[in-house]
Amino acid sequence: MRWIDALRLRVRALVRGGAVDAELQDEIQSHLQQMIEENVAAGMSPADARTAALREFGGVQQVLEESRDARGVAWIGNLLQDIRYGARLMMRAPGFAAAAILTVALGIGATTAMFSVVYGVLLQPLPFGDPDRLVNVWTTAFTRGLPRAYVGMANVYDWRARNHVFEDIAALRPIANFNLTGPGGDPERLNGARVEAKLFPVLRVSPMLGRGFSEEEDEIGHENVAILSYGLWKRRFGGDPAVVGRSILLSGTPHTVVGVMGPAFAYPTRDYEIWTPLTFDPQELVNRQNYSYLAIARLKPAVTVEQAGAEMNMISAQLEREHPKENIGIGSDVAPMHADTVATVRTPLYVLLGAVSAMLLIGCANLANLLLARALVRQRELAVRAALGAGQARLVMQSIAELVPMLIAGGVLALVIAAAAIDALVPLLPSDVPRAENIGLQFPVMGFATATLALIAVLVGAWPALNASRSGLSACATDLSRSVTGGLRRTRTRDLLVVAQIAATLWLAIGAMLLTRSFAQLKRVNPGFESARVYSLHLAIPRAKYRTDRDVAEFCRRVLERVQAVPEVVAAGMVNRLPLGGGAQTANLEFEGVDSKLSSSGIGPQADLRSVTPDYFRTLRIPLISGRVFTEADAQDSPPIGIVDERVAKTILRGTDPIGRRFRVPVPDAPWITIVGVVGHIRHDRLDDDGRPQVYWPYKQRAQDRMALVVQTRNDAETIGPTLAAVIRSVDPEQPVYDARSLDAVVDRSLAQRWLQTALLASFAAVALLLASIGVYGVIAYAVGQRRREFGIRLALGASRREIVALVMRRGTTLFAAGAAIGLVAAGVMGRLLATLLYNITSSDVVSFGSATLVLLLVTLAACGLPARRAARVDPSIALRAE
Amino acid sequence: MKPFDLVQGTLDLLILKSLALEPLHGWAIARRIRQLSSDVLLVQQGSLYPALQRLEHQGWIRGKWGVSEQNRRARYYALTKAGQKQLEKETALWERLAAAVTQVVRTVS
Repeated sequence: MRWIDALRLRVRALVRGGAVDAELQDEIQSHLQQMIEENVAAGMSPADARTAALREFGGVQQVLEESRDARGVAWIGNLLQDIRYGARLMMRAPGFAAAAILTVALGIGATTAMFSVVYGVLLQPLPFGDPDRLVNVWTTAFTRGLPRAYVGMANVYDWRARNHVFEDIAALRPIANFNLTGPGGDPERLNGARVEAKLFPVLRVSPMLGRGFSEEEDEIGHENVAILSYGLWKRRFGGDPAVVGRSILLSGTPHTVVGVMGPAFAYPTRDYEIWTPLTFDPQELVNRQNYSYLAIARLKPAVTVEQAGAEMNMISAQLEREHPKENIGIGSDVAPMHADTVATVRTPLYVLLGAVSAMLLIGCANLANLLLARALVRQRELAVRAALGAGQARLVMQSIAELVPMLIAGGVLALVIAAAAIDALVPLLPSDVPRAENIGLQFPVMGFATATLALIAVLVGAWPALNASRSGLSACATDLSRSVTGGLRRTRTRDLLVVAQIAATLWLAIGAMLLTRSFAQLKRVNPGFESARVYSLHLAIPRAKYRTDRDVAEFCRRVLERVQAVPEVVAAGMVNRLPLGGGAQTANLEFEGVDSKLSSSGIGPQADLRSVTPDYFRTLRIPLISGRVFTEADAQDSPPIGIVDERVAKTILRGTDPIGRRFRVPVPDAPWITIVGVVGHIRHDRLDDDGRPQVYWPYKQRAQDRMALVVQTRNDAETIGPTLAAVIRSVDPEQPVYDARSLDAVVDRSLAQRWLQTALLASFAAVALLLASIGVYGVIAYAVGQRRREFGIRLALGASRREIVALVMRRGTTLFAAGAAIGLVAAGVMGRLLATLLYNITSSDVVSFGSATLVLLLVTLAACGLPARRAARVDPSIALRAE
Repeated sequence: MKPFDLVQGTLDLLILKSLALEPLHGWAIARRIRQLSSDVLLVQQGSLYPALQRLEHQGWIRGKWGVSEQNRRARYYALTKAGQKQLEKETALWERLAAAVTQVVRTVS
C-alpha cells in the first residue's frame, strides 16, 4: 500500500508545507554542523570551518526550493500564491475590485434568478406522468364571441364514445367552494374541484396516502368522499396518516377522507386544496346546457395534437348536425396542457429573459473592459517577468489565478443575490401565474452564467500574459516608448465593447420605459367605481345549511344589518362577483323589442350578471344615471326588476329610454325583468379590458351562494377586517370568510403581473445604466490617461481648456452615437414583441424612445465629464516632462 | 584527480545503496558515498536533499528523527521494502549499462 504513504506525504507537503520546510531546514542545519565539526577536527579555526562548510554546501534556500519542487506539489503552491496575490491586488484597487465583483455578481445573480422563474413556470415538465401527452379539450363558440369556453357533460360523453385519438377524457368542475368546519382550527373556506374518478388515471398520478376515487363514487349518493392536498393535510390535520378513513365536515355535509395527494400535485392550480367526486344532474345529458366543466385528455401513443384536433372537429360537426338546436356553433379545440397552463405568462417571461440576457451581455462587456484596462496597466510587469524567465504557461496560469478571488467573491455574492431575488420575487408573483410553486434556484443556470463570465475573465485575463511572453523583453522596451499601433488596436476593442454596452443598455431602457409608460396609463384608467376606503371579503354560503334562496338572502341581510351598525362603516353592500377580483358570471340575454337575430350569434347579447344588495352602488360609488337603485322592498314576492349599465342603454337599447323596458334569460318560462335604473359601467375583468355590458338583479330575487361583502369606511379600510369577521361570526359562528383585503389591494393585484414585469425590467435597465456608465467612464478615463502628454502639448501650443474638454467629450459622444444607433434599431424590433404587453401606447412610442435615449446620453456625458475635466487640468510642463 | 560530479540518475542508486546496510542521516550518506568511491564520487549537498525528498515521496526510503553519534538530532533515512526492490532493479540496470559502456569503450576500432 505504498501509494497511501505517498498520498499521506503529499497531502502533508501541501497542507503543512511550512512544517516540512522547517524540518528540512533543521536537517540541513545539522548537516552543516557536522561539516563544521569535521573541518574543525581537520585543524581549521571555528570561523574558517563555518565559512568553508557553507561554501561547500551551497545555497540553503536553493536546496529548500528544489526540495519543494521534488515533493511534486509545487504547482499547487504556486496557484495558491497567485490567488493570494490576486486577493492582494484586489485590496489595492478596491474601486476596480468592487466594479468587477458587482458586475460578476449582478450578471450571474440576475440571470440565475430570472431564468429560475422562467424554468419553473415555462420549461419544467408538469408533475404528471408523461405530461407531454396531456391535452386540454375546450369548447369553441366563435359565433357567440367565445373562442374558448368550458365544456358541457353531454359533449364530453359523446366525445368519449366516438373518438379514437384519446386514451381517455376526464372532466372536472374546477369551481367548488367548501366550508371546512370541525376540530383543527377555525372554519375555513377551501378551494376545491369536483373531479371524475378518471382524472387521476388520466394524469397518471396517484395519492400519496389512501386511494383515488372509484367509478361508483361518480354516482349521485356515493359522492361524499374527499381527497386532501398535501398542504391542507399538513396544515389542518397535522400530517396525521390516520386521517384517511376519517369523516370531515364540508359545508355541513360529512365526507370520508379517502386519500392525500403528494406535495408536488397541484391541479388545476396550486390554489386547490381538496377534491371530491363529480356528480351532475343527468338532465344535462338531455338538455345539453351547462358548459361549466374542464376536460383533460391523454393522447394515445403516436397520435399528434393536430390529428386529435382534426378528429374532434369531425365529431363536433356530427354533433352539430344531430343536435342542431343545442349544438349550433359549438366546436372543440385541443391544446397541449403545458402550453395552455403557461399561455398568459409566456410573452412577459420571454421578454424578461431577453432583458436578462442583455444584462448578462452588458456584464460580460463590462468585465472584459475592466480586465483589459487592468491588463494594460500590468503589461509592463508581465513583460519584465517574462524577460526574467517566467514561462508562458506560468504567466498565463498566474493571470488566471489572480482572477480567482474576484470570481469567487462575485460568485458568492451572486448566489446571495439570486436566492434573495427568488425569495422576494415568488410572493410578488400574481396568484394567477401558474406553477409558481415550482420555482427554485436553478443551479445549472447559475453554472452557465458563471461559466460564461469566467470564460470571459480567463480569455481577457490570459491574453496579456500570452502577449507578454511572446514579445518578451522587447515589449518591455517598446512599452517605454508607447507603441502607438498596439495601443490603438486595443483601444478599438474597448471602444467596440462600450458601443455594444450602450446599444444593449438603450435597448433595455427603452423596453423599461415602454412598460412603465404603459403601466402609468393603466393606473390612470377610471374603473367606474372608487376603491378608496373600501374593504372587501368573500363568503361562501353553504346550501346545506341555508337551503332556500330566501335563507341565503336572509343571511346576507342579517350580516349587512350588523355591519352597517359598526360606527366606522359609511356604507356596506354585497355583490356576487367583485370587480377586478377574477371570475365573472355571464349569459346571453334577450331584450324585449330588440331583435336578437340582429346580433351575430342570434341568441342575444352577452352580459355580466350580478346580484347586489341595495347599498352596493353607494358603497363603490358607482353613479346612478337615471331611475332608481334597489331597495329592501324588492323582495322574492315583488315584481321582478333589474338595473342595467349605461353600456346596455347605449349599445343594446340604442339610446331609447331604458326605464320600463324588459329583459330575461332566454330559457323557456324565464320571467321578464323590468328595468328600473341605469348605472355607470365599471371595469370588471381587467382595468385594460372594457368588457361586457352589465346587468344587476336585487339579491332577494336572485340569491347567490358566493357573495363578496364590500364596506366603505370613514378613515382607513385596512384595519376593519377583524371587526367584519367577528360580525359575521356573530351571525353564524361556522361561517368562514376568505379573500379579505382592501379594494385598493384588489385593484393592485389585478395589475400585479404588469407591475412585476414593469418593475423587473425597470430595475434591469437601472442596473444596466449603472454598468454602462462604469464602462464608458473606464474607457474615457483610460483614453485621457494615455493622451495626457498630447493634451499637454496641445495646451502648451495654445489650445484652450474648453477645446480639450470638447475633444474628450467628442470621443464619448461618438461612442454613444454608434451604440445608440444600434440600440434604437434593436429596440424597434423588440417593440413588436412588446406590443401585446402595452396598454394605450404604441410600441414605437416617441416619448419612450426619446426619453430613454436622452437619459443614456446624459449618463454618458456625466461619465465622460470627470475624465474630461482631468484632461483640461493637465499641467503642460508636467505632462511634457512625464516621460 | 578531481572528484566527479555525479551522472544524472545515478545519485538515486548510490543513495539507495548506501542505505542498504543501515539507516544514515544526510551528511553520513554523502560521506559514505565518498568513502565507498574512494573519494572519487562527490555528492553535491544541493542535489542530495532534493533527491532524498524525491525518494521519500516514491516510498523507497523513510526518514525518522534520531540522535547521531555526536549526540545531535539528525534525520535518519532507512530503506523500505519497496526501496530494497528498487535498489535491486537499479543495480541490475546499472551493471548492464556499465558493462555495455565498458564494452564500447574497450572495443578496438
